[in-house]
Amino acid sequence: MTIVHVPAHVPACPLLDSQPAGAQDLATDLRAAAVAVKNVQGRAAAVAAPAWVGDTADAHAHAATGFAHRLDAGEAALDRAVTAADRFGERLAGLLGRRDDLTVRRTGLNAEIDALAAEVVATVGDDRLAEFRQRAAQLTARADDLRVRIAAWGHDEADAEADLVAALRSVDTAAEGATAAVAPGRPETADLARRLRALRGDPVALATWWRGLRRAEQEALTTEHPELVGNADGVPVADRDEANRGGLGRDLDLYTRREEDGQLTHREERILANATHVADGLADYRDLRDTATGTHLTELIAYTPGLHSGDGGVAVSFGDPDTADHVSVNVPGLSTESASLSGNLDKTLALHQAAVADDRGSVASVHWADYDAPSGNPLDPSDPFGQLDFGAVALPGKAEAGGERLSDFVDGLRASDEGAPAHLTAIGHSYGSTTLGHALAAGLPVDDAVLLGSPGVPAATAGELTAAGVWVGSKDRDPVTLLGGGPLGHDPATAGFGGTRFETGDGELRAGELLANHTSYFEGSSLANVAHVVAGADDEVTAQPPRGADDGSHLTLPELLVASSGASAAHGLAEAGVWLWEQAPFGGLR
Amino acid sequence: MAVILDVPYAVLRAARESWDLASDELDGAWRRLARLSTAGLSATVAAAVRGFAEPWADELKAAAGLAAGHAEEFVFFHRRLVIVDRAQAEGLRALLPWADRDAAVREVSGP
Repeated sequence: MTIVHVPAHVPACPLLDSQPAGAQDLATDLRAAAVAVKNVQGRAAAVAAPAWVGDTADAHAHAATGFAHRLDAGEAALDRAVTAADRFGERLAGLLGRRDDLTVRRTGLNAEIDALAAEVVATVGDDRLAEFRQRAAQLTARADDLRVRIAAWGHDEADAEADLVAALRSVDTAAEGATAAVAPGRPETADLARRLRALRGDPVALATWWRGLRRAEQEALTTEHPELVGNADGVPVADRDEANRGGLGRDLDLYTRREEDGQLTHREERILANATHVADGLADYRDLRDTATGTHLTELIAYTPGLHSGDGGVAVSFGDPDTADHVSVNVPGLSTESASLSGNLDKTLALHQAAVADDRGSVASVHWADYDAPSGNPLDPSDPFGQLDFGAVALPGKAEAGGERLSDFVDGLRASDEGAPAHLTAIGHSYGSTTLGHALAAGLPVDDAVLLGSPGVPAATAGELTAAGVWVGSKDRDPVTLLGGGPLGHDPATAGFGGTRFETGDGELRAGELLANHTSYFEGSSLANVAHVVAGADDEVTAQPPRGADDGSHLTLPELLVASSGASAAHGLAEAGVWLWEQAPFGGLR
Repeated sequence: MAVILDVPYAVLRAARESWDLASDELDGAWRRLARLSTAGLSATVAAAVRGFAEPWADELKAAAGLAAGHAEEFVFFHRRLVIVDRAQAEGLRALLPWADRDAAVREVSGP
């Protein structure tokens, strides 16, 4: 009897006991508390006895001096905890990736073991004995190696947990916090903050400087100045997300307390409302995970709840733009504010999923609403305030100013990008396309630009606008697209403009559907085509003849309104203005 | 006899608001630590997290209470600080910024 020693199956790599997203949430909570403590400690320290006074009786009796000293212990302890939690999350993400790799190798190896066993059983005689024994030996060696690797993975997971536990236990008393506060090597954030401020405006230099900092320095700066780190173009997106979520948590905690005390100022009331909208928007997607890292799929890249006339600013990404092969940046339009976040994120997620489905590489899809979009109605003669805002202020000013902020944001994404430069597509919808147009005209560094439902852009041709590829989605029964040639600029859907108009369908002619025509570019064939552009699948984009081409006839705006409502052109125009204005706050013109 | 702490009303008002803000901010911080997220963490890690969070939540809660107490010591009536005696005035002076530590405490006659 001859024997072939076929190795046993390699057992599965265990599941992670702690999840990367769990570590993220822990770090976020710790950061929010740290931000608050640092704010209070910093204000107390600013009015405390100076250091040269030392431990005199006067200083000892001075309340703010003692308070600042007391809180410094908590600050140091929280800094240690945040850094440890962040490191823990990063190690878990790495372990998850290694586990995926080990699982693939194990599945393949066990299949080979099964195949060999089946062949041995099915073979009569010893003709292939030497071959079987050689294959068995090779499989045994590979199985042993894989078992060692799985065991090492288990040890590394245990080490990661043990390090976090040890770090937390080292500062879980006030005395240990006080010791940590005077420990050598504690980051000095004042100099770091000055340097960070000095580098704003140079995202490449800022990105290089940031990556050279120690983790403890990055974390200390993040909790000392979350608004600075979270909105600094050039800081890695994952670090901006950490800073902004910490700041968001602190805002919710503080202003909720003040609301309960009846102490909110009007400005604080707006900040709390904006923070709540952002938190609610993120909560809608908290169960989505990055499949590669196990971390939350959403990244809060910008958070400015006190800016933009009180509307607040926000940028959220699905996926990490720093590591993705393809990155898109959506710029929404009229009445953009934090309150409209949830609806806009649905559109961005739909685009993200469609682009991922193209299977042309990894994708990150950003919703960017960190500019002061105008309020008001360009069409309603009975709305002089809206006309004033839209006509005298919004048109020349807000799109240009928004374009500058968009350029800074995209420059930051380019600077923090890792590996080969991502294929980057900027998408502007409605007034956002005008904002994007101004950014493009100023040299926005993107590979492709998509103009959706555009009322106009500040150049007569695509070539004058940008060197990037220009794609246009424009439904002929979307009244906003028929505003082109007016104060907002040129209609990019015309043949003379020279962009690539893609298929969106014309939309319904009924008056009640005109709004839907303007707000449905992230659906159907239009969404599919935008996703193809984002994923670099240009060959899959289906074209639509531009306006003015032989087969590109269309109605003018008055003709469309008359045809859709049966009313006179003037009456139709006024009605449409009222209708556009009324719908805007509810997600219409975004 | 009345007692006066010789500090501008705006400074006094700012001091009160500063202690009040400190109380609110620390109040939010200790509450967050008290409900720190341990979802998605192993039992070992979750226990360590609780072991860290509980004492610091207690510490920040105590600090928040102290700040609230300081804020409440500033009682105003018709834009004037209400002081009953010299000891209280000196106590309030210790709650002001260091730059105002030498503010005079004076006894004056009349209403």
